[in-house]
Amino acid sequence: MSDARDKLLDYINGELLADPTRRAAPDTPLFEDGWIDSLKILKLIAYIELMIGRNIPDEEIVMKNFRTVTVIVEHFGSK
Amino acid sequence: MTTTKEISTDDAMTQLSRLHEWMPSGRETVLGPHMLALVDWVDSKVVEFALKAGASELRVSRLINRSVLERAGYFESFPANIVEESDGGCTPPAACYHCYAKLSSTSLQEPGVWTCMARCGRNEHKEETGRLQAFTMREIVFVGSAAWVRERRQEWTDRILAFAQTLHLVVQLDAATDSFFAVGEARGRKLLQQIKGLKIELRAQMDAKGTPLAISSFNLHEAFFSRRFDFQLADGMEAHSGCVAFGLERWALALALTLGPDQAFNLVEQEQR
Repeated sequence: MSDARDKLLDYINGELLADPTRRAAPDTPLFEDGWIDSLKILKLIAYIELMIGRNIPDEEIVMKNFRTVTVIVEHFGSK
Repeated sequence: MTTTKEISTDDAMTQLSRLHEWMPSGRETVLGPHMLALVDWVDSKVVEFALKAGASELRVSRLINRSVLERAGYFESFPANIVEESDGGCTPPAACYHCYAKLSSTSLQEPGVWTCMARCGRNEHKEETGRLQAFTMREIVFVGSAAWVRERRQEWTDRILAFAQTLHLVVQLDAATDSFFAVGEARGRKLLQQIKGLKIELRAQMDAKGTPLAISSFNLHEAFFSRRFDFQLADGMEAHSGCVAFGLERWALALALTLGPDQAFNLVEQEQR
């Protein structure tokens, strides 16, 4: 679990946000203050799909599954 | 207030058809006088709510300039929906675009609420009871700080859910989960909208076999339109906007199918007595 969480955090901080002034922690709300925009959400979903080895259906793309990195990993698990 | 009687939606639709009150004709649907009166009755109730909530009513033109829809990003999201007319005008796909155009390049001294109604058109490809190509939409638009707009949306959601329940409509509130046929950034915008719960729909069951259809939606736009149309709050804060939309023919049809045509039409007659 923590491997998947660390991997996702590394991706979000290193590639997705790529902004030294913004560092997401495991429980940082990802969808407040414009951290994730309409392009980044697509990249994030594509990355999670690779991580878990399956497509994510649209119905699963809701706040209760995506609020923070911890929530994402708890909901989707890993491959 | 009306009491419900058991009537199946199929029987109600047969009655509506026999009474010449709901007549599908090719890609259009023609409404008879009682259904039109019911549409107007629903609208009058919504306007009453809006005026009590401090809304200013706007009278808008029949067509909307194509450039307004371009500025609003409509072509990026729903290019296939647009109904183009002549001379750069389009049938509006929703009433509220007129409001953003009106607010363009302004600075608001205080939060504001507006309401307008428009005859709208969309090239709808999905066939469903109540999904019309040409329809009437009443909207309430509110502009202010993020928190203020969010509060207004909640108030309107509660108010209209209670109104629908008073009328004995069988409804549910759901986060919108439109099918994401859009590609690229437009798909990203739709996914963000879904995750953030920006669009909530009030859905009513129109027939026994179909999925419930949205009769109203309660929407947050964050700063999307204020950036696109360059309006802000006087204190320098970024303006957020939200809107509540009513598909008036869908409301009338939901009432006629749920209560039965007689009881639904009686709502209007009771008012006139």
